[in-house]
Amino acid sequence: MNDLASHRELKLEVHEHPITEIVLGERTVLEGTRLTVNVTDLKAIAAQEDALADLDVAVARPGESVRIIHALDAVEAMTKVAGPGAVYPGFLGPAVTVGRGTTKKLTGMLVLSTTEFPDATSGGLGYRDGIIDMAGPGRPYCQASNSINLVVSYKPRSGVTNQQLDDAVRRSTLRIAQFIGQTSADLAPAKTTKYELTPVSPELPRIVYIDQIMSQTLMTRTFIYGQQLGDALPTLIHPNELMDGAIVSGNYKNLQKVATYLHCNKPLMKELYRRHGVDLNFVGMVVNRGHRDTFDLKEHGAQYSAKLAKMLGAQGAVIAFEGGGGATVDFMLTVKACEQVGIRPVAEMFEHAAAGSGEFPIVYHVPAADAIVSRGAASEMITAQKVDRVLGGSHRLCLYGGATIIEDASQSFTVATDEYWGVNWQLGESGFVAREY
Amino acid sequence: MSETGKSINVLHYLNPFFAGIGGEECNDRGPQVEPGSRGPGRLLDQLLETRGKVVATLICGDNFVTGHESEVTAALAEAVKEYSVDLIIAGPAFSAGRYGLACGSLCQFANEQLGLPAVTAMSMENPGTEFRRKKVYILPTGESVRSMGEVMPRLMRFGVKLAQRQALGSADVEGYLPRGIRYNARVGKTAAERAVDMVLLKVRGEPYQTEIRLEAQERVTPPAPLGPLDQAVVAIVTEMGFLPHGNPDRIASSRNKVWGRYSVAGMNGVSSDQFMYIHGGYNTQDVDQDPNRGVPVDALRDMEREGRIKQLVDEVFSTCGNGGALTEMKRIGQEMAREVKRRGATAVIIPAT
Repeated sequence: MNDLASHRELKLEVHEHPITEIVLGERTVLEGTRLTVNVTDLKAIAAQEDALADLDVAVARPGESVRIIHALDAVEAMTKVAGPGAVYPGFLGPAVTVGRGTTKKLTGMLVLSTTEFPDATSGGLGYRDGIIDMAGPGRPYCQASNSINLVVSYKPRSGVTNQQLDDAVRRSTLRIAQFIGQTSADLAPAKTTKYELTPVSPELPRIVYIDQIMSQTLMTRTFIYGQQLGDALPTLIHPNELMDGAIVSGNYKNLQKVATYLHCNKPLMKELYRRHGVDLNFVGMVVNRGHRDTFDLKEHGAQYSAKLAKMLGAQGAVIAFEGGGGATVDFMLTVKACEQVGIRPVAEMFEHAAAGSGEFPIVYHVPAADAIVSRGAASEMITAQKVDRVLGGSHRLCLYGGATIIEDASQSFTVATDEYWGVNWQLGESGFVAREY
Repeated sequence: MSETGKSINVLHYLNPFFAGIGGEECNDRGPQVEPGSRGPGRLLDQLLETRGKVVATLICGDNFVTGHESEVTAALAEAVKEYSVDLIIAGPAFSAGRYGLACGSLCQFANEQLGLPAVTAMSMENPGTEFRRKKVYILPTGESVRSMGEVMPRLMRFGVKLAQRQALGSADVEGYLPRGIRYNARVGKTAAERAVDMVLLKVRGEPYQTEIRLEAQERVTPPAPLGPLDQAVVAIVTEMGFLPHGNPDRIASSRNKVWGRYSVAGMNGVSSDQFMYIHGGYNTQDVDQDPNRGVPVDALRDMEREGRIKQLVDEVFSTCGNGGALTEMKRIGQEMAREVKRRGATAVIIPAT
């Protein structure tokens, strides 16, 4: 089953241009590992969007005493220099299949967008804030804390709706990310990696990655080739497509979310690729949407995902998900469905219960989920330190979905790790696990 | 040595059979305290060497403990005082069920009421292992008494660690039965790396170790069927986050810990002038516009007027369940249930999301 035409076709060369410093200056240019950004260039890009009145730019470096709030997304600065399509297809160009040719990436940095939504809607339509600490005890718990961040803070024009602002910020940030990526166009990369799912020994175990994504409504959307996932059936995707930005995040449920840079670099995808041909055969990926509205629909998605995995010839599956309690049901049903068709599943997930609470760690499970990797328990209390700078807009931070207001986010406060940006995924990346006592 | 360097005074708990007094016929005996060690306590004493000494043995019939717990725990408390006990070691009980339950119960008492470290040991199938849910340390044993020589050294070493207040590692590392309390640690490999390692083991048919142990979920017995609907007194209980403007009970939109009860007395329906919804998990626009779409007060009032139900309880019991911690939601449910019952409800409708 490793002989899929797409697998032969999708050969991607990724050029890495590591960034060790970002400064603001007269021209936007990359010199060695030093990126200079002209803010006027970025303003000109943002001006393409009616909904955006202005923007501010700041730089936040790992280890600095900086806290970023009101973040929407963190995006890789990259550009395609050979092969069909453009990075972030569907947004920055037509939905031509990507994952081929050559893409240049500025590594060690991200473009990070922030804004404050004009309508304070609540519930499922509410933006839920999360903290990014570049230093201090919270740092291992948040996404985007290990990169130099070019923080672009957008001011909306008055009278725009949340949706208009959200869409405009997304388009503008992706354009800026590509524009910054283009500074590397004529430069020689520090590192080149070829990504190809080559044919390998038939003895190697065939492993599929089933990735369950969150996409429900405004503020919790994820896009594939520019289209919201919505109620789409599960589908196949090649890891190279992710690397070129085929999956873009619009999810602001900030403890659960996967930022766009993380979609491009999904840890399980990267790990399977690294070991492809070594001790396994990475047969491909299935993408499904979680939080389907009824149990029947959840079962529908789960069964369909398992079927696609079987069509790829998988013997084993690693399965991960983005979402909360309800999405655990879709997820566990997928684990069960895989077992039912003879694919041995491993579930990789965070724990819903608070550390030390004595509660059962997950809200739903099936007997087939007998091989679970835990990213760690939720709700540890930590003390966020006082910081020198707060980036993102106002210093007013709404925690716990609005139940607690911190008037000045530069001060020290005690907070649950749940309030860190993208914590459910970052726990896994930071090498956490929970152990039983 | 105990934490202060002094010798650890151990109280050993045995049933009459292990103490060498007699068999099943002695299981109705009440508690007695003997100085020094008895039965396998002698082995325990030897193993302790200079670290400590079995200063007393509490012996009690397994049957007696059931129904006379307070007498037995009183005897334990007495003995602890009299012999300046630092540590309780109970059993091992192996597969003896009543003995295992007694050991677990006494260790829990020692921990909670006397503030003393305690440890016991028994086989995995022993019903006494349920005491690990009460944070009691229980070491696993096989079924057979013949393994005493293997078990006692483990019990001794673990007990000494406890008495010395040494920091304990996780259950897997220290060899006790996991007690359901989970803490984070950072390890060398990322979750993705460990997941790929695990799937390869699984596919190759090699043994693997899950990082989250599954347990049978609690089985809830469904209540008896309702009977004639026109006799039903119906209450609305909801997790949709229904509440009055101003949110007097400060119900949070996520990870919430409180609930409220909101009067709908004299109302034929619930109005958006008075009520709204707070919930982080769904789009509340439609129910905010017309709150009856969530909690169907209007429909139930119609049914009440028409005699199709006997009565609608005039309060809505409400919380927000988004991201709710299981223990909090369980407690909230129990508290609500008590109140709902007190209002005379015979049936509840639970609008949920």
